[in-house]
Amino acid sequence: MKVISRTEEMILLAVHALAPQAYGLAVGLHLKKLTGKPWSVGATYIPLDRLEKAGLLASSEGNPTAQRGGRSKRFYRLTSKGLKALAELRKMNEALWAAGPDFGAS
Amino acid sequence: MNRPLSPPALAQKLLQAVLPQPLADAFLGDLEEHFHQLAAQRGAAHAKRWYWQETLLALPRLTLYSFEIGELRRLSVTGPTSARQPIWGTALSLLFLLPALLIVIPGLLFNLTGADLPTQLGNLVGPILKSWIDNPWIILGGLFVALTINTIAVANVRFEDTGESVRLTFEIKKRPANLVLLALAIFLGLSILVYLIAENLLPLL
Repeated sequence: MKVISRTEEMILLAVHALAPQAYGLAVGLHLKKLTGKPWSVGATYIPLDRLEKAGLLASSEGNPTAQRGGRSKRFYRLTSKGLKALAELRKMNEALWAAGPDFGAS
Repeated sequence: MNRPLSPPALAQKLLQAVLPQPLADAFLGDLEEHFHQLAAQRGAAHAKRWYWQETLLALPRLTLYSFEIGELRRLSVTGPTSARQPIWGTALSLLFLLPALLIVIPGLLFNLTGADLPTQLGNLVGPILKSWIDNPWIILGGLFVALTINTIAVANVRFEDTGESVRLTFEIKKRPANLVLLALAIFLGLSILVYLIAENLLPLL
C-alpha cells in the first residue's frame, strides 16, 4: 500500500467523522476547528480529489441550493479500501509510537 | 434598491479558468456558501476579502493540479507539414540568438577553462562585428525576437468562455527544433541576467 500523507490521513478521518454530511467546506471547517490552523477550500479539495481517484473515497452530488449560487454539494464517503487504508495507517502509527518517547513519564 | 450580494465576479472567473471540471461546481458552491455565511456574520467587506484570499491561495495549487491531471494540458501530435516551422524560421532564430551566443558561450568557457576566447574572438571577427556583439540592445533585442518566434511556434494559449464555464487551454506543439531554440534563448537570457546581477549588484552589497 502506498503510504498516504498526513494531510490525506486527516482528511480521511474528517470524512469519516462527518459522514454522511462530509463535503469540502465542512471537512475544511472541521479540520480548522480540531487543529486550530487555517484550512483553505483549495487545500481541502485537491487531497479529496486525489483520494477519490485512488479509490479511498467515493462521492455523490447533492441538490443545488440558492445559497450556493445554484450549485450542488459533493458529498464524500469512505470506501472499503479507504477504511482498510486507515486501519493499516493506524497500525503503522501505533508501531512507530510504541518505540517513541514516553511523554507520560516525568 | 440594493443589489443582491454576490462573490467577486473576477475571482470566480479566475477560479473557473483553472478548476478541474468535475470539481468546479462543488468548489465554487462551497466558497459561495461560506461567503454568504461570513457576509451575514461579519459584513460584506470581510466576506469579499475572504473570497479573494481563498482565490489567491487556491489559484497556484489548482493550476498545478489541473496540469498534473491533464485538465489544462493538451499535447498535440506534430501538426500537418504546412504548419511546421519552415527551416528559414529556425535559421532566423539562430541569427537573432547569435549576439547572445557569442557573448555567453566564450564567457562561460573563459570561466571554466581560462581560455581567453572573448579576446581571440574579438581579433577574429574584427572591430565592426565586435562592437555589434558588445551592444546590449542588439543582444537583448535578438533574445527577445528569438523567444517570441519560438514561443509562438510551440505554444497555443486559448481562452474559451462557454457561459457555463471558462477554460484555459495550453496547447504545446511538439516541435523539437523550436523547443531547443526556446530553451537556448531562456538559458542565454538567464546567463546574462545572472552575469549582470553578479557584476552590478553584488559588489554594492
